Amino acid sequence: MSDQQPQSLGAAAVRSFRAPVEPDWQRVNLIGGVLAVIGIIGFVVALGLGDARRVWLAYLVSFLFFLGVAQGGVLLSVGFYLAQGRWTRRAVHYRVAEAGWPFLLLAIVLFAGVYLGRARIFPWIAHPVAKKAAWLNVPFLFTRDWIAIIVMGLVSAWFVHLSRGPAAAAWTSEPATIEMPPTGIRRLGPILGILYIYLYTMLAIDLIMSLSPLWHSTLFGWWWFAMCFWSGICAASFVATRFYRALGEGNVFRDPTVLHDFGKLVFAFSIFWIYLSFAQYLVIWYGDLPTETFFILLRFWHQPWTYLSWSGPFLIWLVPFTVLMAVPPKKNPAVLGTVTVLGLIGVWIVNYIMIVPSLFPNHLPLGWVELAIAAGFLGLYILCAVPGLRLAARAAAASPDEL
Amino acid sequence: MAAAVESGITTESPTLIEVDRQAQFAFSPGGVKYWLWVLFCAGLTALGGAYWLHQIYYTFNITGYGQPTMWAVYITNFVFWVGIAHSGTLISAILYLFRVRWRTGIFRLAETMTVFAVATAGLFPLIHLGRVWNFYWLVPYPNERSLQPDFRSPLVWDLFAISTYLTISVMFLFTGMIPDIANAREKATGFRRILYSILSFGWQGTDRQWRNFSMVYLLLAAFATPLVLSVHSVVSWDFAMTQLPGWHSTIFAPYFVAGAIFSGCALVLTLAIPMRRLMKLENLITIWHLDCLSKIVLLTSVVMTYSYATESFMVWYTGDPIELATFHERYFGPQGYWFWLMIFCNCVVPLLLFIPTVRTTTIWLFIVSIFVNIGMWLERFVIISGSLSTNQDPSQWKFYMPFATEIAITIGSFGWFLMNFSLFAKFLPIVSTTELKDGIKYLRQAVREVYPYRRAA
Repeated sequence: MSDQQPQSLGAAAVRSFRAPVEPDWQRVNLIGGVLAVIGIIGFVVALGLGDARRVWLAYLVSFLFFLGVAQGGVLLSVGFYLAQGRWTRRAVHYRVAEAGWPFLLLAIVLFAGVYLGRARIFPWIAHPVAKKAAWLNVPFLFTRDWIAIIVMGLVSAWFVHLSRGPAAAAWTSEPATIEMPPTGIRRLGPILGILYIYLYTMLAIDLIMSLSPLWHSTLFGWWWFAMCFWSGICAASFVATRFYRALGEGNVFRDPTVLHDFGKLVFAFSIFWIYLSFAQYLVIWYGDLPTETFFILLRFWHQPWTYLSWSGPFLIWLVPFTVLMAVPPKKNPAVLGTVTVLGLIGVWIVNYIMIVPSLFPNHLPLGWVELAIAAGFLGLYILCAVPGLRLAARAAAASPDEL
Repeated sequence: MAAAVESGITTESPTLIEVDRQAQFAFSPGGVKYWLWVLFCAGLTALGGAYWLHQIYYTFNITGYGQPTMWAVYITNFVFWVGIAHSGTLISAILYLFRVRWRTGIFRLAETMTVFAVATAGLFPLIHLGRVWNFYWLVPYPNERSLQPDFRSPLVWDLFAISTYLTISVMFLFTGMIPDIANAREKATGFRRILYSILSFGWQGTDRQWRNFSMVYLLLAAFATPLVLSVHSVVSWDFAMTQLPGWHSTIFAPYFVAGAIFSGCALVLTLAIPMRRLMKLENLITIWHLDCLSKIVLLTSVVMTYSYATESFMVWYTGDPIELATFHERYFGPQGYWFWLMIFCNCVVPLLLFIPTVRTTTIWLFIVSIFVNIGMWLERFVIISGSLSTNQDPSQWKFYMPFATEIAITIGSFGWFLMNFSLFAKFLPIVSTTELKDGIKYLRQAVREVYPYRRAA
């Protein structure tokens, strides 16, 4: 027996352990910064070129998309705590879910953009709807929506602060108990959940549904915040698949059950979203009331919108449903990562087709303007998420005794 | 502890054998009080049956039915009982797939409730038929005139949804019981031994049998999960597909599903709390189980409140005069008190469950669950009867009140459900010893630490 051979299985584990690799965070920050600059330049140039309505709508689409991703992630963490989801003896899944929360504070400032572009975005400003004037008027709408975004940002920040505290860490490190999470989280989690469903329903009605002031659907708010929640799951799962590779051997994401569980969440809530979509669509189709059907017909059955509209359910439901049906694809970081990126693109598209056709019914304004502005928001989101991702990467570094 | 000592449990940290012993004690032959209770339930069933026969003979003239309210208490009961059935599948299938630890103590009880609730619900479309002997017209069967039911009708979707749900629920219940029945078979004598030998399907507990059992159970759970969403969605579409104000609403499907889980979990609490005391099951269905279940009730209550608020807001937002009139009548009309009582029961009373002491005190939980049961029955009544009473034509408006026939048949349905449930609980294992033993370390914690909360932040 040579000296190179380990003396026991434990020693073999120690020897085979390699410390996780620290990702190049400066490079990630640089990418985020470059994308943000591209977005700002694109936004200014596009405004200068004259099609202000298109620019402000693109701004609204990306604003709502990244707001939903960041908030959905925090809500995913709330869900993990309240359902006692302690998968890994470490808080990695909480950390990746919460990583985007600083964007919620940035959104308080970014919402000013929606205010500045209000005349181009909201058709009811130029053409008031008498029956809805009590709800759809500029002072009331922007006051309540701004308050909603501020409240959600601050409460989320408080929740993440508690989640990163010592009591939560102690709780997550004892997975084999029936004990509930620490008091603060136990109290704040439900409050955040309740605020989310009410305030995000209001945002959906105000910032999306009101762009077609004659249309209404009772389920719309629920449907939209469920999609935001799913986008949060996708973002967290995508980060998990990236960390799987980027952190090298010896990180918690190499445990196949972690990716498997993320894959199951992506799969399950994708089905839930299509269920809500179908429940909404079927009632409108069967009822066949013109005040309801025009919104669907324009998007799903009239060109130039048809293909783009159908790509939303295709990317959010059909791809995850077919690809993630079996166990191995859920555990495969390349497959899960691709599905989640496609899913996030699908969510952006769905936001786009809910908003833009209301003001551009006959042509499809999708080009460099929309891409540049989306890239800018992505850059800002990455810059916001990096500190949280660094914490997640640190938490993911497994010690040899856990291998 | 007195109950525990009586049933053979002598320690607060149950061993595997003690779990078996306590479960066996639960379905040992019943005493006089038990049989008097079953007889009482049978009497209620007979009362309902007699009134049904009376109605068949004298037609709907002896009920409160009449234009415009041709769907009222019977369809309310149908939706109520289908809704009750949902918690069983939620607890059995969805929580199983999510590896939730607390389901072990109560899932069998919930599954049993599901089967008998669906069986009760299935009676009401028949009771609602004037000529019940023609019920098979709903079924697509070959006939000389090539007539088929209208597959665009949600009522036909209902038939398939409910029958699928009943089939899967029964399979799920009996498959899960096989190891427990086999366990009981070893100690049973006489008629019970024969019954358990048949129902255990030759189970010997071999490795191969356990592997197959686990796989079948997992597949059935995966198959049953979509049914939780689909069945009550289909039931909601009986209403939402129409253009009737108060019914035509896109939120109905998920809102009905949430309501079904809400009422179903509340009824599990209503049944589990007295049962664990009467059958000495306190160490198997612990406060921890009830606490977790009550959180589901609380969560779904919040969802129901959200749904009521959204529905009301959207009526105001659209400004549609007919919708506004319908909802005005619902809130402030001659039967507005039903609506506000429903809000009190479904939205206000469950808020007490935010208080941990309420969630861990059985008497409080029992009271809250009774309020929820009442509130959820009223909700269906308000939606169904209230909306029909105030349709698009105000000249037809007429408010419905049930007659003795509907009331007696409704009481009879509760008797029928409770009779079946009580008989099952004494003849077949109402708690799963297999799964309880599998999660014994959590059960021990639950018995030891009644209040599973970290006190300091």
